[in-house]
Amino acid sequence: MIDDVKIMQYADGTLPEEEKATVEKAIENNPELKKLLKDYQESADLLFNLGQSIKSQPLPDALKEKLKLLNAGQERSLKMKTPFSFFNIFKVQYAGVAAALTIFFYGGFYTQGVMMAKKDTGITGGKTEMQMAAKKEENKLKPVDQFKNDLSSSVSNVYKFFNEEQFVSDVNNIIGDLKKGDEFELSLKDGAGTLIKFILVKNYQSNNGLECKNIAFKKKTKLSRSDLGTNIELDLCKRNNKYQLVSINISK
Amino acid sequence: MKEKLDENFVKSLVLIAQGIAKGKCDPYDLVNGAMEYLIKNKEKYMDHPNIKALAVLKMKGLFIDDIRKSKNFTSLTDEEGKDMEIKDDQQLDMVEKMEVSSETKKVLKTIKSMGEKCQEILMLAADQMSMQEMQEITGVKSIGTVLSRLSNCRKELKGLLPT
Repeated sequence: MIDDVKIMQYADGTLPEEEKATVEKAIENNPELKKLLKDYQESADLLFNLGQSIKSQPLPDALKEKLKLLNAGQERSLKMKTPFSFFNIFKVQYAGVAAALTIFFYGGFYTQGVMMAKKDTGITGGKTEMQMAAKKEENKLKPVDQFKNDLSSSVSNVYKFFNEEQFVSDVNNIIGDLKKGDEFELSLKDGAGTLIKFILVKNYQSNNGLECKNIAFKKKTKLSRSDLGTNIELDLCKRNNKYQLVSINISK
Repeated sequence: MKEKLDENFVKSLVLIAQGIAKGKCDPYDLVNGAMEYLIKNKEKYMDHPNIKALAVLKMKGLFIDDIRKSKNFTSLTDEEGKDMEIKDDQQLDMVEKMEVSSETKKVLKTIKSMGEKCQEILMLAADQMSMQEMQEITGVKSIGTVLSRLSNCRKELKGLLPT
């Protein structure tokens, strides 16, 4: 007998192979079952999109701290000074790509840059996240909570529309032909669906001799409904014959 | 397979908590409580085959504790053992405050207007959980019951949303 569950399983692609033909045949000959199939397909999409949408929300700082405690050695974690909370947003969403990279975030309303680094990047001299956090403490560079929240939101909002993997892939196809001041477009669109215009700002060498390029979004980009516009710059350095994203600079 | 304890893990809990909180407490408080539990009981969960399910069950426990503390109920089941409906008086406001698309808000509000079992299983489905995980978390006797409940709730959801 073809019941609702079978139709749902068929819609989800979880129906056992040996039952598919029977269900397909029943659906073909029955408009009601066709409608039911469509409803289940649509509800699957709705739930998937709902999950993705809620998961795209940045986590509150308190939960990020709990996560750090969960992953760290408990005793050590309890003693650990609080590192910048926005780091996790980046780490999770783009963990695979970011693993070998150094990330810089700058706030234009903040007088000094903040550097977050991971081990063995080869660019920062192998400083660890904790060392960098400690260094910030020593230098009294700890920003106020509001700054942390703003920057955290900004970074996560960038990644709502900025597909890093796509960007790196696309830009590597043309970067060799670009000269300083050249403007170009890739397939990337901003949050409003407009193609992003980039400009090659400068070519430079990193401290350890890597060939790097600084690329900026030509126009200010709105990162949230309340944002009046944010400057975004990207630094890419060549490693293993490919340019990799090493930093994102955000300023007002 | 062991769950990777990263932000996606916590965001899954936040998502599922939406279906557990039932307007009586903040979903984030449930996640926070479950995380605290995991931190305090590391030695117990480190070898747990499904830490997410463990955390979700803890959130359900915290929710029940919260309800009991509120003195509205001494039990969440009536004399016949059936689940009692808990009046939803906060969730719609909380959904409005979320920075998500209007479509997402509409779907979430609709789910929150449904029965508790549907709220729970639909949010588990939104997290792309397997039927086995859903069975473990919902505590139903068989996968067949999970499938049946899910198919009914999805049909109801679709019926409640305007086409």
